[in-house]
Amino acid sequence: MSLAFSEMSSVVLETPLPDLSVLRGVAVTALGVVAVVTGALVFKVDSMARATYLLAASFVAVGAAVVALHLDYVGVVVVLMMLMEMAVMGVFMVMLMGMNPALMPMSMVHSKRRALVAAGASFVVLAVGILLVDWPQRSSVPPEGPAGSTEGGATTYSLGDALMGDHMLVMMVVSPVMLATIVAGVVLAQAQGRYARLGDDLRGTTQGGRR
Amino acid sequence: MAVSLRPLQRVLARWAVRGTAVLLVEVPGGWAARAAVERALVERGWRAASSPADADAVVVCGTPGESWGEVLERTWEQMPGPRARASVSAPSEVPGALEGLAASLLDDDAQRADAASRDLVPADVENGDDMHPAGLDLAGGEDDLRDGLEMDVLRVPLGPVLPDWPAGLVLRTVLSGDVVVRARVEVLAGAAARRDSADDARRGDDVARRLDAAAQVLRLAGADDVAARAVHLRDAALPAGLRSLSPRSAPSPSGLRSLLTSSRGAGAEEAHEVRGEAARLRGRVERSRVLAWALREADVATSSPTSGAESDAAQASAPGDLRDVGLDARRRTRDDVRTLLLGLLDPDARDDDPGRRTRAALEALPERLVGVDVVTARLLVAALDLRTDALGDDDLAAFAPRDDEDEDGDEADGGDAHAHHHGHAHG
Amino acid sequence: MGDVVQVAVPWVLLAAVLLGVAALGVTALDGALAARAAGRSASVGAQHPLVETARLLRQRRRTTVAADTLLRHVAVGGFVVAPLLMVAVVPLGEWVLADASVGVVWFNAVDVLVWVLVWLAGWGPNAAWSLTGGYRFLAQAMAYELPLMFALTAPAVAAGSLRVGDVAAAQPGLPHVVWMPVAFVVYCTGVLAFSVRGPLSPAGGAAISGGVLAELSGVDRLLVLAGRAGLLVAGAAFAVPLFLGGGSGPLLPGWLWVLVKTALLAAALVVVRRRLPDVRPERFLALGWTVLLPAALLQLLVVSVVVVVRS
Repeated sequence: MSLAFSEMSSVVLETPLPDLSVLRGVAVTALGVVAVVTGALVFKVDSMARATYLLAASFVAVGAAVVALHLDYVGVVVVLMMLMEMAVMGVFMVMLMGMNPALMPMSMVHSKRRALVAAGASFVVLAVGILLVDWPQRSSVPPEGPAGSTEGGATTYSLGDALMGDHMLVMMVVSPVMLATIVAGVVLAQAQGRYARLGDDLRGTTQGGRR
Repeated sequence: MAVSLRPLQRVLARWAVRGTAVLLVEVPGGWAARAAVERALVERGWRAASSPADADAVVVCGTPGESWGEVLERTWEQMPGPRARASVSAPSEVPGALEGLAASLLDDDAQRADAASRDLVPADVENGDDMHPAGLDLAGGEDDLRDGLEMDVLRVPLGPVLPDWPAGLVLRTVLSGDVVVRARVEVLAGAAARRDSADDARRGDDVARRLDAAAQVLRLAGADDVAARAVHLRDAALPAGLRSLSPRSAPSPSGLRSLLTSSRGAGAEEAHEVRGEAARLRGRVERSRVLAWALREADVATSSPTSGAESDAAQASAPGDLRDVGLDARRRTRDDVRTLLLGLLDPDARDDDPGRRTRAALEALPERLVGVDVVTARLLVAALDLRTDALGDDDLAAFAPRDDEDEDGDEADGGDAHAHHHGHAHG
Repeated sequence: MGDVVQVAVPWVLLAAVLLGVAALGVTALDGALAARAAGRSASVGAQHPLVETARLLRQRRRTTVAADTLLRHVAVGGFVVAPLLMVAVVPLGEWVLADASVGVVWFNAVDVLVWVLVWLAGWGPNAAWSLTGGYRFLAQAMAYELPLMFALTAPAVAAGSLRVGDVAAAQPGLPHVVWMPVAFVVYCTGVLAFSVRGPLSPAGGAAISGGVLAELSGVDRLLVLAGRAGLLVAGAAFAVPLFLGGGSGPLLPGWLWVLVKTALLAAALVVVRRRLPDVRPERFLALGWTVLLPAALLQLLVVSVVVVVRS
């Protein structure tokens, strides 16, 4: 199988990559519009649940646009992570902002002036950045990925390489440590939880301290 | 067009009615009727509905008292339709009642008229205002029992129309998420003379009733197949007078079938056989490690002071120490759901005064449920085998439904747990 | 993998039909088992899906006070779409609807979509039991999702590809399930959890009166019931290329092997599901974080070492 694969990918590599096709351009633009519109609607609707899942829809559109740019892995992971995050965030939004399901219409905007200034300023900074940065020219040859990878895979590989470089191993070691830190932090910060009954050793043998 | 669709609709209706979902509403004193309906449902291939939205028909088992009127009407309104209703007060009425339901559900024209006559949006919707959209109360905030964060609380009455739930019991709960913050017990009494059921108990249906309670616990725990076994045994253990259906068609555990058909009413022998089967079922439940794992610690509140002294101590101490208060006591002194379940399946256990036992359990219930999640609460309520039909008049008066649902009423009734909870959360 | 051909979009109809038939099949099996346990004839119980479909087609849709109808519709419709999105990347022998280069991640993204659907189905009706179901599902979601992710990673690492067809082709003679059984078990646990029924689904169950289903009637209910049966089937179908050697097998053509393996695994999951009582979320959290996750990680380590040694 791997033989067939490298043959195939070598064929791909030798063929010059066509420019972004019209179709792809249209798709990226349309998805961008969807992302912006759903993102803006977040501030128009009057329910926490709708706001949360409009934001999720916006991120899904971004993920789809990234897929359309041939970064398949990054795009699908964006969708995956954002659905997950928004599902969890929705719970926190409802918990902290308190209201009945779907009932209490409430405004999704607060301290409008400051928010507008902050948003405008960051937009200007980013837009200026985009215009001023000396972007590298797109080569007509797709970046080389590991043997056997497709065009999308190779692009993802080179993106990861550009971001992480030699630090991939460090990142891979650090991420489980960070996860453990988060979990431990939550456990320690919680004075009491569903596991308190099991005592400090989590075996359920500890005597109730104040009994 | 309508004419050409008619035969198709009739076929659809016939198929639909073969799987009718029936919402069972048990009124105190109606347990024998309910058991008979359950048995008839299995025979017809029908099933019990899990909620009004799931139901095609509602069957009221027993004779409801005055306090039931509004509850039954609201349940009827909540059913999507096609819908039908019936009430049975004795096992012998069951076959006729179910026939009637089937006929009513099959009557397309009548169902169409019923559907046209009502709007499926519930009738009590008002226009509402900012704080009462659609005429409903907003969820209020309340400090969470576990971590002191303010959480939404919802006022949710549990019962009386709830599957696998004691007849007529209403738990007016305040829920924070899925955790009970406080609860108040009410009992909607039946109109039928409760002496009958007391007599039933003396006639020896006690084993049957405890098997019935065990089946409810097992169903709630999701152990459907074991529950079905317990239901078999319950039906076999019923005194002959309470069996409405012909013994030929009555489902029974395979080992019992011959006994039932040959010597109906041969009480002693039969009872002995049922006891043996019950003991075997108990062994099966006891040995099941999965069930033990799933039910273990199912009656352990995460944290709630159990007495005033403890609460004061908790308040005085650092927050870090607070978590142990009361937990250990609960773990050691309270039976958990599994223990109660095993007790229900013990054929030799005796229940001499179900009325007094039920009253004591109901009085202790609000405090016991504080900090317990709703699923555990339902398991516990089922496992306690509450016999509301054995309550005396003065007991019923003590648990009579009250109109005041305001904060003060709840607080006054919510018991010590609530007051303490507030105490330490703000302290 | 050269021998997986991406078919045209209209074939999605065939996929939907196959999925629907399989969903009816697992529901019928469940009904038959339930009927047998209740002392009734299994063949009558097997008619349950047809009877229930007729019943729900005839029933009216019901609304609740101040419901979020839009979000409820999104959830109900999504339940039907999600299983289709899952099977879109599963090769049926040599044909596949979408030969995605990251099919494994795609499947994972769709099973996370189930989180959204369940919660929205719980939120939409604006009712206590539904909401409780939605919250309880999310409460345990991470405890099955993380182990599931690592279980999905193991076969992909072994095959050196995230394309489902490649993973299927990477196990000639020796299906992955043989040398990564832990990942397979963890994966099946995940399928049981995201198919919103049975022991690992606190979103429903008798103890909360059906939970997210409590307020649904008529077509709404039918679609959710069909969708969750579809999720079980899709989960079983995806295990075929991942763990069970895809379409490889003696005598029969590849596509038939895929169907047979899917049916067998789905049936096995139904049987297992019936035998287990409901597990409360806090119980499952302990199991997920302290047993399933470490086990899945160790399995991944073993697979990675084998891959490195082999190459």
